[in-house]
Amino acid sequence: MNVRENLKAYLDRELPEDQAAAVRQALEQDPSLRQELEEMRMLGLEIRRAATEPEPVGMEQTIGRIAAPRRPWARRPLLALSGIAALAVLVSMVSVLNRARGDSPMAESAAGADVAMKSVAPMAESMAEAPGRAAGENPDYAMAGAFPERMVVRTADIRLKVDDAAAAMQKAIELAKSLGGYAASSGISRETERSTPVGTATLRVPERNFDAALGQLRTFGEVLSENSNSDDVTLQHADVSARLKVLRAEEQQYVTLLGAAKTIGQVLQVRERLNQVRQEIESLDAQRKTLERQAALSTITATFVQRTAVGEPEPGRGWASEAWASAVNGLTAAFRWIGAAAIFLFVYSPLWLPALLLVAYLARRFK
Amino acid sequence: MDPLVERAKRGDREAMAELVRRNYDAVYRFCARRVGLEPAKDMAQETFLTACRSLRRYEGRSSFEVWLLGIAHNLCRRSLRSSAPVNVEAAWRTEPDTEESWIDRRVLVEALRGLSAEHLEAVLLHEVEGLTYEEAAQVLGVPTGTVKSRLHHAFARLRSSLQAQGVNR
Repeated sequence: MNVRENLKAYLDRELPEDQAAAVRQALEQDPSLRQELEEMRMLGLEIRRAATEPEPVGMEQTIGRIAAPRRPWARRPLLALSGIAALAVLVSMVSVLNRARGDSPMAESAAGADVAMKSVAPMAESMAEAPGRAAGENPDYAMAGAFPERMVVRTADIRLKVDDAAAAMQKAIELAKSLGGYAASSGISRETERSTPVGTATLRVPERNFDAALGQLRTFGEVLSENSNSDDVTLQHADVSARLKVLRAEEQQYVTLLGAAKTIGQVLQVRERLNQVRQEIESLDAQRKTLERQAALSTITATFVQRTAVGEPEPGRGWASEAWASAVNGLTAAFRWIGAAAIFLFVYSPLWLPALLLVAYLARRFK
Repeated sequence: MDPLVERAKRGDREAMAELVRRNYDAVYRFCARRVGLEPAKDMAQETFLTACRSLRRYEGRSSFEVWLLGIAHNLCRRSLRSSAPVNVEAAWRTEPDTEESWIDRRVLVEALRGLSAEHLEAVLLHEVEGLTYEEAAQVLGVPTGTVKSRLHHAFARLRSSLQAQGVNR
Protein backbone atom coordinates (compact mmCIF):
# COMPACT_ATOMS: atom_id res chain seq x y z
CA MET A 1 0.00 0.00 0.00
CA ASN A 2 1.35 3.44 -0.90
CA VAL A 3 1.00 5.62 2.19
CA ARG A 4 1.39 8.85 0.18
CA GLU A 5 -1.65 8.01 -1.93
CA ASN A 6 -3.71 7.65 1.24
CA LEU A 7 -2.48 10.84 2.85
CA LYS A 8 -5.28 13.07 1.53
CA ALA A 9 -7.97 10.54 2.49
CA TYR A 10 -6.35 10.25 5.94
CA LEU A 11 -6.51 14.02 6.33
CA ASP A 12 -10.20 13.94 5.37
CA ARG A 13 -10.91 11.02 7.79
CA GLU A 14 -12.09 8.92 4.87
CA LEU A 15 -9.78 5.94 5.44
CA PRO A 16 -10.79 2.63 7.07
CA GLU A 17 -9.21 2.18 10.51
CA ASP A 18 -6.55 -0.36 9.46
CA GLN A 19 -5.26 1.87 6.65
CA ALA A 20 -5.44 4.96 8.88
CA ALA A 21 -3.29 3.14 11.48
CA ALA A 22 -0.70 2.38 8.82
CA VAL A 23 -0.59 6.05 7.78
CA ARG A 24 -0.29 7.13 11.44
CA GLN A 25 2.66 4.82 11.91
CA ALA A 26 4.35 6.10 8.73
CA LEU A 27 3.79 9.70 9.85
CA GLU A 28 5.53 9.02 13.17
CA GLN A 29 8.59 7.73 11.36
CA ASP A 30 8.78 10.16 8.41
CA PRO A 31 9.03 13.93 9.03
CA SER A 32 8.70 14.74 5.27
CA LEU A 33 5.37 12.92 5.26
CA ARG A 34 4.23 15.03 8.22
CA GLN A 35 5.19 18.18 6.35
CA GLU A 36 3.28 17.01 3.28
CA LEU A 37 0.20 16.38 5.42
CA GLU A 38 0.42 19.82 6.93
CA GLU A 39 0.78 21.43 3.49
CA MET A 40 -2.29 19.60 2.28
CA ARG A 41 -4.26 20.75 5.31
CA MET A 42 -3.26 24.35 4.71
CA LEU A 43 -3.95 24.04 1.00
CA GLY A 44 -7.45 22.75 1.71
CA LEU A 45 -8.04 25.68 4.03
CA GLU A 46 -6.85 28.18 1.39
CA ILE A 47 -9.07 26.60 -1.24
CA ARG A 48 -12.11 26.94 1.02
CA ARG A 49 -11.24 30.58 1.71
CA ALA A 50 -10.72 31.27 -2.00
CA ALA A 51 -14.11 29.86 -3.01
CA THR A 52 -16.82 32.38 -3.78
CA GLU A 53 -20.02 32.45 -1.73
CA PRO A 54 -22.53 33.83 -4.25
CA GLU A 55 -25.62 35.39 -2.73
CA PRO A 56 -28.56 33.23 -3.84
CA VAL A 57 -31.27 34.94 -5.87
CA GLY A 58 -34.47 33.67 -7.43
CA MET A 59 -35.71 31.36 -4.66
CA GLU A 60 -39.16 32.96 -4.46
CA GLN A 61 -39.63 32.68 -8.21
CA THR A 62 -38.72 29.00 -8.08
CA ILE A 63 -41.14 28.41 -5.22
CA GLY A 64 -43.80 30.35 -7.15
CA ARG A 65 -43.37 28.11 -10.17
CA ILE A 66 -43.50 24.95 -8.10
CA ALA A 67 -46.29 25.83 -5.69
CA ALA A 68 -48.66 27.54 -8.15
CA PRO A 69 -51.54 25.27 -9.19
CA ARG A 70 -51.19 24.53 -12.88
CA ARG A 71 -53.43 23.15 -15.52
CA PRO A 72 -52.41 19.73 -16.80
CA TRP A 73 -51.47 21.06 -20.25
CA ALA A 74 -49.22 23.70 -18.71
CA ARG A 75 -47.00 21.03 -17.17
CA ARG A 76 -45.69 20.19 -20.58
CA PRO A 77 -45.89 23.33 -22.71
CA LEU A 78 -43.90 21.84 -25.57
CA LEU A 79 -46.21 18.85 -25.72
CA ALA A 80 -49.22 21.15 -25.67
CA LEU A 81 -47.81 23.31 -28.47
CA SER A 82 -46.88 20.34 -30.63
CA GLY A 83 -50.36 18.92 -29.99
CA ILE A 84 -51.93 22.19 -31.18
CA ALA A 85 -49.72 22.21 -34.28
CA ALA A 86 -50.58 18.59 -35.09
CA LEU A 87 -54.29 19.32 -34.52
CA ALA A 88 -54.16 22.32 -36.88
CA VAL A 89 -52.58 20.23 -39.62
CA LEU A 90 -55.09 17.42 -39.09
CA VAL A 91 -58.04 19.82 -39.19
CA SER A 92 -56.82 21.33 -42.47
CA MET A 93 -56.36 17.84 -43.92
CA VAL A 94 -59.87 16.84 -42.87
CA SER A 95 -61.36 19.91 -44.54
CA VAL A 96 -59.49 19.20 -47.78
CA LEU A 97 -60.54 15.56 -47.68
CA ASN A 98 -64.14 16.50 -47.06
CA ARG A 99 -64.09 18.77 -50.09
CA ALA A 100 -62.56 15.97 -52.13
CA ARG A 101 -65.25 13.60 -50.95
CA GLY A 102 -67.98 16.01 -51.95
CA ASP A 103 -66.59 16.25 -55.48
CA SER A 104 -65.77 12.66 -56.09
CA PRO A 105 -68.32 9.84 -55.78
CA MET A 106 -65.39 7.48 -56.07
CA ALA A 107 -64.28 8.39 -52.58
CA GLU A 108 -67.69 8.02 -50.96
CA SER A 109 -66.68 4.75 -49.45
CA ALA A 110 -64.13 6.59 -47.36
CA ALA A 111 -64.68 6.23 -43.64
CA GLY A 112 -65.87 9.14 -41.53
CA ALA A 113 -63.24 11.75 -41.04
CA ASP A 114 -63.17 11.66 -37.25
CA VAL A 115 -59.44 11.39 -37.47
CA ALA A 116 -57.83 12.69 -40.63
CA MET A 117 -55.20 9.99 -40.74
CA LYS A 118 -57.89 7.35 -40.76
CA SER A 119 -59.62 8.95 -43.71
CA VAL A 120 -56.45 9.16 -45.75
CA ALA A 121 -56.16 5.40 -46.06
CA PRO A 122 -59.63 4.48 -47.42
CA MET A 123 -59.47 7.35 -49.87
CA ALA A 124 -56.15 6.28 -51.21
CA GLU A 125 -57.51 2.75 -51.37
CA SER A 126 -60.43 3.92 -53.50
CA MET A 127 -58.01 5.58 -55.83
CA ALA A 128 -55.88 2.49 -55.97
CA GLU A 129 -58.91 0.50 -57.07
CA ALA A 130 -59.42 2.87 -60.00
CA PRO A 131 -56.07 2.99 -61.73
CA GLY A 132 -57.53 4.62 -64.82
CA ARG A 133 -58.15 7.78 -62.86
CA ALA A 134 -54.99 9.77 -62.37
CA ALA A 135 -54.57 12.00 -59.35
CA GLY A 136 -54.21 15.12 -61.41
CA GLU A 137 -57.70 14.73 -62.95
CA ASN A 138 -59.41 16.15 -59.88
CA PRO A 139 -57.96 19.46 -58.77
CA ASP A 140 -58.79 18.65 -55.15
CA TYR A 141 -56.38 15.76 -55.22
CA ALA A 142 -53.55 18.11 -56.02
CA MET A 143 -53.07 18.45 -52.25
CA ALA A 144 -49.27 18.40 -51.92
CA GLY A 145 -49.16 15.38 -54.19
CA ALA A 146 -50.16 13.17 -51.26
CA PHE A 147 -52.19 10.91 -53.53
CA PRO A 148 -50.16 10.03 -56.58
CA GLU A 149 -51.36 7.48 -59.10
CA ARG A 150 -51.42 3.86 -58.11
CA MET A 151 -48.05 2.77 -56.79
CA VAL A 152 -47.14 -0.90 -57.22
CA VAL A 153 -43.87 -2.61 -56.43
CA ARG A 154 -43.53 -5.56 -58.81
CA THR A 155 -40.95 -8.30 -58.37
CA ALA A 156 -40.36 -11.63 -60.14
CA ASP A 157 -38.03 -14.60 -59.85
CA ILE A 158 -37.47 -16.73 -62.91
CA ARG A 159 -35.28 -19.83 -63.20
CA LEU A 160 -34.34 -21.09 -66.67
CA LYS A 161 -32.37 -23.99 -68.11
CA VAL A 162 -30.16 -22.66 -70.94
CA ASP A 163 -27.38 -23.91 -73.19
CA ASP A 164 -24.90 -21.24 -72.14
CA ALA A 165 -25.44 -19.52 -68.78
CA ALA A 166 -22.91 -16.72 -69.39
CA ALA A 167 -24.35 -15.85 -72.81
CA ALA A 168 -27.92 -15.92 -71.51
CA MET A 169 -26.98 -13.66 -68.61
CA GLN A 170 -25.32 -11.18 -70.96
CA LYS A 171 -28.42 -11.27 -73.18
CA ALA A 172 -30.62 -10.56 -70.15
CA ILE A 173 -28.49 -7.54 -69.20
CA GLU A 174 -28.79 -6.21 -72.76
CA LEU A 175 -32.55 -6.79 -72.61
CA ALA A 176 -32.85 -4.72 -69.40
CA LYS A 177 -30.87 -1.88 -71.00
CA SER A 178 -32.98 -1.94 -74.17
CA LEU A 179 -36.13 -1.62 -72.04
CA GLY A 180 -34.82 1.45 -70.22
CA GLY A 181 -33.51 -0.42 -67.14
CA TYR A 182 -30.23 -1.78 -65.91
CA ALA A 183 -28.67 -4.78 -64.19
CA ALA A 184 -28.37 -4.11 -60.45
CA SER A 185 -26.12 -7.15 -60.02
CA SER A 186 -24.96 -10.18 -61.98
CA GLY A 187 -22.60 -13.10 -61.52
CA ILE A 188 -21.73 -16.66 -62.44
CA SER A 189 -20.93 -19.39 -59.97
CA ARG A 190 -20.29 -23.13 -59.82
CA GLU A 191 -21.01 -25.25 -56.80
CA THR A 192 -17.92 -27.36 -57.45
CA GLU A 193 -15.29 -27.54 -60.17
CA ARG A 194 -17.22 -30.29 -61.95
CA SER A 195 -20.68 -28.79 -61.69
CA THR A 196 -22.24 -26.72 -64.47
CA PRO A 197 -22.21 -22.91 -64.17
CA VAL A 198 -25.20 -20.99 -62.86
CA GLY A 199 -25.68 -17.32 -63.79
CA THR A 200 -27.77 -14.89 -61.75
CA ALA A 201 -28.80 -11.40 -62.78
CA THR A 202 -30.91 -8.90 -60.86
CA LEU A 203 -32.58 -6.67 -63.42
CA ARG A 204 -34.32 -3.37 -62.72
CA VAL A 205 -36.75 -2.38 -65.48
CA PRO A 206 -39.41 0.34 -65.63
CA GLU A 207 -42.71 -0.90 -64.26
CA ARG A 208 -44.46 -0.42 -67.64
CA ASN A 209 -41.93 -2.80 -69.30
CA PHE A 210 -42.08 -5.45 -66.58
CA ASP A 211 -44.33 -7.87 -68.50
CA ALA A 212 -42.38 -7.39 -71.75
CA ALA A 213 -39.09 -8.14 -69.97
CA LEU A 214 -40.48 -11.26 -68.33
CA GLY A 215 -41.96 -12.44 -71.64
CA GLN A 216 -38.62 -12.03 -73.43
CA LEU A 217 -36.75 -13.83 -70.66
CA ARG A 218 -39.03 -16.86 -70.98
CA THR A 219 -37.80 -17.30 -74.57
CA PHE A 220 -34.17 -17.63 -73.41
CA GLY A 221 -34.56 -21.29 -72.43
CA GLU A 222 -36.68 -23.84 -70.63
CA VAL A 223 -38.53 -22.25 -67.68
CA LEU A 224 -37.86 -24.29 -64.52
CA SER A 225 -39.77 -22.03 -62.15
CA GLU A 226 -41.33 -18.59 -62.12
CA ASN A 227 -42.82 -16.46 -59.36
CA SER A 228 -44.04 -12.92 -59.61
CA ASN A 229 -45.41 -10.62 -56.95
CA SER A 230 -47.20 -7.26 -56.98
CA ASP A 231 -47.22 -5.21 -53.82
CA ASP A 232 -49.52 -2.21 -53.81
CA VAL A 233 -47.81 0.47 -51.72
CA THR A 234 -50.15 3.36 -52.53
CA LEU A 235 -51.54 3.37 -49.00
CA GLN A 236 -48.13 3.08 -47.43
CA HIS A 237 -46.84 5.97 -49.53
CA ALA A 238 -49.85 8.14 -48.72
CA ASP A 239 -49.40 7.38 -45.01
CA VAL A 240 -45.68 8.22 -45.04
CA SER A 241 -46.35 11.46 -46.98
CA ALA A 242 -49.06 12.54 -44.53
CA ARG A 243 -46.85 11.83 -41.53
CA LEU A 244 -44.03 13.79 -43.16
CA LYS A 245 -46.31 16.77 -43.63
CA VAL A 246 -47.38 16.74 -39.97
CA LEU A 247 -43.78 16.42 -38.76
CA ARG A 248 -42.58 19.27 -40.99
CA ALA A 249 -45.27 21.52 -39.51
CA GLU A 250 -44.14 20.43 -36.03
CA GLU A 251 -40.52 21.17 -36.97
CA GLN A 252 -41.47 24.72 -37.94
CA GLN A 253 -43.20 25.18 -34.59
CA TYR A 254 -40.06 24.10 -32.75
CA VAL A 255 -37.86 26.41 -34.82
CA THR A 256 -40.13 29.31 -33.81
CA LEU A 257 -40.03 28.17 -30.18
CA LEU A 258 -36.24 27.95 -30.27
CA GLY A 259 -36.05 31.59 -31.33
CA ALA A 260 -38.31 32.57 -28.42
CA ALA A 261 -36.57 30.41 -25.76
CA LYS A 262 -35.23 32.48 -22.91
CA THR A 263 -33.42 30.06 -20.63
CA ILE A 264 -30.73 27.50 -21.35
CA GLY A 265 -33.06 24.83 -20.05
CA GLN A 266 -35.73 25.82 -22.55
CA VAL A 267 -33.21 25.98 -25.42
CA LEU A 268 -31.92 22.51 -24.55
CA GLN A 269 -35.42 21.07 -24.26
CA VAL A 270 -36.57 22.55 -27.58
CA ARG A 271 -33.36 21.59 -29.38
CA GLU A 272 -33.60 18.01 -28.12
CA ARG A 273 -37.17 17.66 -29.40
CA LEU A 274 -36.26 19.43 -32.67
CA ASN A 275 -33.47 16.92 -33.25
CA GLN A 276 -35.88 14.05 -32.61
CA VAL A 277 -38.41 15.46 -35.08
CA ARG A 278 -35.70 16.00 -37.71
CA GLN A 279 -34.49 12.44 -37.30
CA GLU A 280 -38.05 11.16 -37.78
CA ILE A 281 -38.40 13.36 -40.87
CA GLU A 282 -35.17 12.02 -42.36
CA SER A 283 -36.23 8.45 -41.70
CA LEU A 284 -39.70 8.96 -43.24
CA ASP A 285 -38.27 10.83 -46.22
CA ALA A 286 -35.89 7.93 -46.87
CA GLN A 287 -38.85 5.51 -46.67
CA ARG A 288 -40.85 7.62 -49.12
CA LYS A 289 -37.95 7.81 -51.59
CA THR A 290 -37.33 4.07 -51.35
CA LEU A 291 -41.00 3.35 -52.05
CA GLU A 292 -40.97 5.67 -55.04
CA ARG A 293 -37.77 4.10 -56.38
CA GLN A 294 -39.12 0.59 -55.91
CA ALA A 295 -42.38 1.45 -57.62
CA ALA A 296 -40.68 3.19 -60.54
CA LEU A 297 -38.40 0.26 -61.33
CA SER A 298 -39.52 -3.36 -60.98
CA THR A 299 -37.05 -6.06 -59.98
CA ILE A 300 -36.58 -9.34 -61.87
CA THR A 301 -34.16 -11.92 -60.53
CA ALA A 302 -33.22 -14.30 -63.35
CA THR A 303 -31.25 -17.48 -62.71
CA PHE A 304 -29.75 -19.37 -65.68
CA VAL A 305 -28.82 -23.01 -65.09
CA GLN A 306 -26.60 -24.41 -67.84
CA ARG A 307 -27.59 -27.72 -69.44
CA THR A 308 -25.11 -30.63 -69.25
CA ALA A 309 -23.50 -31.10 -72.72
CA VAL A 310 -23.99 -34.39 -74.64
CA GLY A 311 -21.27 -36.93 -73.74
CA GLU A 312 -20.25 -34.95 -70.67
CA PRO A 313 -20.69 -36.91 -67.45
CA GLU A 314 -23.42 -35.74 -65.09
CA PRO A 315 -22.04 -33.62 -62.33
CA GLY A 316 -21.09 -35.82 -59.42
CA ARG A 317 -18.80 -36.18 -56.50
CA GLY A 318 -16.17 -38.59 -57.99
CA TRP A 319 -16.12 -42.41 -58.27
CA ALA A 320 -14.86 -43.15 -54.76
CA SER A 321 -17.53 -41.14 -52.97
CA GLU A 322 -20.20 -42.51 -55.33
CA ALA A 323 -19.06 -46.10 -54.59
CA TRP A 324 -19.10 -45.36 -50.86
CA ALA A 325 -22.59 -43.87 -51.05
CA SER A 326 -23.79 -46.81 -53.14
CA ALA A 327 -22.35 -49.38 -50.67
CA VAL A 328 -23.89 -47.62 -47.68
CA ASN A 329 -27.24 -47.44 -49.45
CA GLY A 330 -27.03 -51.17 -50.33
CA LEU A 331 -26.25 -52.16 -46.75
CA THR A 332 -29.09 -50.02 -45.45
CA ALA A 333 -31.47 -51.63 -47.93
CA ALA A 334 -30.33 -55.13 -46.84
CA PHE A 335 -30.95 -54.36 -43.16
CA ARG A 336 -34.33 -52.91 -44.02
CA TRP A 337 -35.25 -56.09 -45.93
CA ILE A 338 -34.17 -58.33 -43.05
CA GLY A 339 -36.09 -56.20 -40.57
CA ALA A 340 -39.23 -56.29 -42.73
CA ALA A 341 -38.96 -60.11 -43.08
CA ALA A 342 -38.68 -60.52 -39.29
CA ILE A 343 -41.78 -58.41 -38.75
CA PHE A 344 -43.72 -60.44 -41.31
CA LEU A 345 -42.64 -63.72 -39.71
CA PHE A 346 -43.69 -62.49 -36.29
CA VAL A 347 -47.06 -61.17 -37.44
CA TYR A 348 -47.89 -64.41 -39.34
CA SER A 349 -46.61 -66.67 -36.55
CA PRO A 350 -50.18 -67.74 -35.49
CA LEU A 351 -50.43 -69.39 -38.90
CA TRP A 352 -47.07 -71.06 -39.38
CA LEU A 353 -46.00 -71.73 -35.79
CA PRO A 354 -48.74 -74.36 -34.99
CA ALA A 355 -48.09 -76.01 -38.36
CA LEU A 356 -44.38 -76.17 -37.66
CA LEU A 357 -44.92 -77.56 -34.14
CA LEU A 358 -47.34 -80.19 -35.54
CA VAL A 359 -44.83 -81.24 -38.19
CA ALA A 360 -42.09 -81.50 -35.55
CA TYR A 361 -44.38 -83.58 -33.27
CA LEU A 362 -45.40 -85.97 -36.05
CA ALA A 363 -41.81 -86.34 -37.21
CA ARG A 364 -40.78 -87.38 -33.69
CA ARG A 365 -43.79 -89.73 -33.32
CA PHE A 366 -43.21 -91.64 -36.53
CA LYS A 367 -39.46 -91.74 -36.26
CA MET B 1 -36.72 8.93 4.16
CA ASP B 2 -37.42 12.50 5.35
CA PRO B 3 -41.19 12.85 6.07
CA LEU B 4 -41.16 16.15 4.17
CA VAL B 5 -39.84 14.36 1.07
CA GLU B 6 -42.50 11.67 1.54
CA ARG B 7 -45.18 14.36 1.56
CA ALA B 8 -43.69 16.03 -1.52
CA LYS B 9 -43.69 12.65 -3.29
CA ARG B 10 -47.41 12.38 -2.59
CA GLY B 11 -47.92 15.72 -4.40
CA ASP B 12 -47.95 18.09 -1.42
CA ARG B 13 -46.88 21.41 -3.00
CA GLU B 14 -46.25 23.10 0.34
CA ALA B 15 -43.82 20.30 1.29
CA MET B 16 -42.01 20.76 -2.02
CA ALA B 17 -41.84 24.52 -1.45
CA GLU B 18 -40.30 23.87 1.97
CA LEU B 19 -37.73 21.55 0.37
CA VAL B 20 -36.85 24.35 -2.05
CA ARG B 21 -36.38 26.78 0.86
CA ARG B 22 -34.10 24.33 2.67
CA ASN B 23 -31.93 23.45 -0.31
CA TYR B 24 -32.02 26.47 -2.60
CA ASP B 25 -28.84 28.13 -1.33
CA ALA B 26 -26.74 24.99 -1.75
CA VAL B 27 -28.12 24.31 -5.23
CA TYR B 28 -27.78 27.93 -6.34
CA ARG B 29 -24.16 28.20 -5.14
CA PHE B 30 -23.36 24.84 -6.70
CA CYS B 31 -24.67 26.12 -10.07
CA ALA B 32 -23.10 29.57 -9.74
CA ARG B 33 -19.65 28.10 -9.15
CA ARG B 34 -19.98 26.04 -12.35
CA VAL B 35 -21.89 28.12 -14.86
CA GLY B 36 -21.43 31.64 -13.46
CA LEU B 37 -23.75 34.00 -11.60
CA GLU B 38 -25.92 35.02 -14.52
CA PRO B 39 -27.27 31.62 -15.59
CA ALA B 40 -27.21 30.16 -12.06
CA LYS B 41 -30.76 31.33 -11.25
CA ASP B 42 -32.26 29.58 -14.27
CA MET B 43 -30.14 26.51 -13.66
CA ALA B 44 -31.21 26.29 -10.00
CA GLN B 45 -34.87 26.72 -10.99
CA GLU B 46 -34.50 24.05 -13.66
CA THR B 47 -32.93 21.74 -11.06
CA PHE B 48 -35.97 22.02 -8.79
CA LEU B 49 -38.46 21.67 -11.64
CA THR B 50 -36.63 18.53 -12.83
CA ALA B 51 -36.64 17.26 -9.25
CA CYS B 52 -40.42 17.82 -9.05
CA ARG B 53 -40.96 15.80 -12.22
CA SER B 54 -38.62 13.03 -11.11
CA LEU B 55 -39.52 12.93 -7.44
CA ARG B 56 -41.33 9.60 -7.68
CA ARG B 57 -38.04 8.02 -8.79
CA TYR B 58 -36.19 9.24 -5.67
CA GLU B 59 -35.75 6.22 -3.39
CA GLY B 60 -33.79 7.79 -0.56
CA ARG B 61 -30.53 6.00 -1.32
CA SER B 62 -28.72 9.33 -0.93
CA SER B 63 -29.67 12.44 1.01
CA PHE B 64 -32.17 14.71 -0.74
CA GLU B 65 -29.57 17.48 -1.06
CA VAL B 66 -27.08 15.13 -2.69
CA TRP B 67 -29.80 13.94 -5.07
CA LEU B 68 -30.57 17.56 -6.01
CA LEU B 69 -26.88 18.31 -6.55
CA GLY B 70 -26.70 15.26 -8.82
CA ILE B 71 -29.47 16.75 -10.97
CA ALA B 72 -27.78 20.17 -10.92
CA HIS B 73 -24.47 18.54 -11.89
CA ASN B 74 -26.04 16.90 -14.95
CA LEU B 75 -27.82 20.10 -16.02
CA CYS B 76 -24.66 22.21 -15.61
CA ARG B 77 -22.58 19.68 -17.51
CA ARG B 78 -25.09 19.60 -20.36
CA SER B 79 -25.29 23.40 -20.57
CA LEU B 80 -21.50 23.76 -20.56
CA ARG B 81 -21.21 21.35 -23.46
CA SER B 82 -23.54 23.41 -25.59
CA SER B 83 -22.48 26.95 -24.63
CA ALA B 84 -19.35 28.87 -23.62
CA PRO B 85 -16.78 27.19 -21.32
CA VAL B 86 -17.14 27.63 -17.57
CA ASN B 87 -16.07 30.88 -16.05
CA VAL B 88 -13.59 29.84 -13.34
CA GLU B 89 -13.79 33.30 -11.80
CA ALA B 90 -17.33 32.44 -10.78
CA ALA B 91 -15.95 29.79 -8.44
CA TRP B 92 -12.86 31.53 -7.03
CA ARG B 93 -12.04 34.91 -5.58
CA THR B 94 -8.84 36.45 -6.87
CA GLU B 95 -8.67 39.46 -4.57
CA PRO B 96 -6.38 39.05 -1.53
CA ASP B 97 -7.93 37.92 1.73
CA THR B 98 -7.97 40.15 4.75
CA GLU B 99 -6.83 37.21 6.88
CA GLU B 100 -3.21 36.17 6.87
CA SER B 101 -2.53 33.78 4.04
CA TRP B 102 0.52 31.74 3.09
CA ILE B 103 -0.33 31.56 -0.63
CA ASP B 104 -0.84 34.37 -3.08
CA ARG B 105 -4.53 34.07 -3.99
CA ARG B 106 -3.88 34.72 -7.68
CA VAL B 107 -1.23 32.01 -7.80
CA LEU B 108 -3.62 29.57 -6.13
CA VAL B 109 -6.45 30.39 -8.57
CA GLU B 110 -4.02 29.99 -11.46
CA ALA B 111 -3.05 26.56 -10.10
CA LEU B 112 -6.73 25.61 -9.72
CA ARG B 113 -7.34 26.73 -13.29
CA GLY B 114 -4.67 24.25 -14.39
CA LEU B 115 -6.64 21.28 -13.00
CA SER B 116 -8.64 19.03 -15.30
CA ALA B 117 -12.44 19.40 -15.15
CA GLU B 118 -12.76 16.10 -13.26
CA HIS B 119 -10.17 17.03 -10.65
CA LEU B 120 -11.63 20.50 -10.21
CA GLU B 121 -15.11 19.03 -9.78
CA ALA B 122 -13.85 16.70 -7.01
CA VAL B 123 -12.11 19.62 -5.24
CA LEU B 124 -15.25 21.77 -5.41
CA LEU B 125 -17.53 19.02 -4.15
CA HIS B 126 -15.36 17.96 -1.22
CA GLU B 127 -13.39 21.03 -0.17
CA VAL B 128 -15.89 23.78 -0.97
CA GLU B 129 -19.33 22.16 -0.89
CA GLY B 130 -18.25 19.95 2.03
CA LEU B 131 -19.53 16.62 0.72
CA THR B 132 -18.03 13.37 1.95
CA TYR B 133 -16.27 11.12 -0.57
CA GLU B 134 -19.36 8.93 -0.77
CA GLU B 135 -21.72 11.86 -1.32
CA ALA B 136 -19.42 13.35 -3.98
CA ALA B 137 -19.35 9.95 -5.68
CA GLN B 138 -23.19 9.88 -5.69
CA VAL B 139 -23.36 13.33 -7.28
CA LEU B 140 -20.83 12.41 -9.95
CA GLY B 141 -22.16 8.87 -10.46
CA VAL B 142 -18.72 7.29 -9.96
CA PRO B 143 -17.28 4.87 -7.35
CA THR B 144 -16.05 6.33 -4.05
CA GLY B 145 -12.52 5.15 -4.84
CA THR B 146 -12.53 7.35 -7.96
CA VAL B 147 -13.28 10.44 -5.87
CA LYS B 148 -10.47 9.51 -3.48
CA SER B 149 -8.04 9.06 -6.36
CA ARG B 150 -9.12 12.31 -8.09
CA LEU B 151 -8.63 14.29 -4.90
CA HIS B 152 -5.20 12.75 -4.30
CA HIS B 153 -4.07 13.62 -7.82
CA ALA B 154 -5.66 17.09 -7.72
CA PHE B 155 -3.79 17.96 -4.53
CA ALA B 156 -0.52 16.48 -5.83
CA ARG B 157 -0.85 18.62 -8.94
CA LEU B 158 -1.75 21.74 -7.00
CA ARG B 159 1.26 21.28 -4.71
CA SER B 160 3.62 20.79 -7.62
CA SER B 161 2.18 23.86 -9.43
CA LEU B 162 2.58 25.98 -6.31
CA GLN B 163 6.12 24.72 -5.72
CA ALA B 164 6.99 25.55 -9.32
CA GLN B 165 5.78 29.12 -8.61
CA GLY B 166 8.09 29.26 -5.62
CA VAL B 167 5.31 29.07 -3.05
CA ASN B 168 6.58 27.12 -0.09
CA ARG B 169 5.64 27.19 3.45
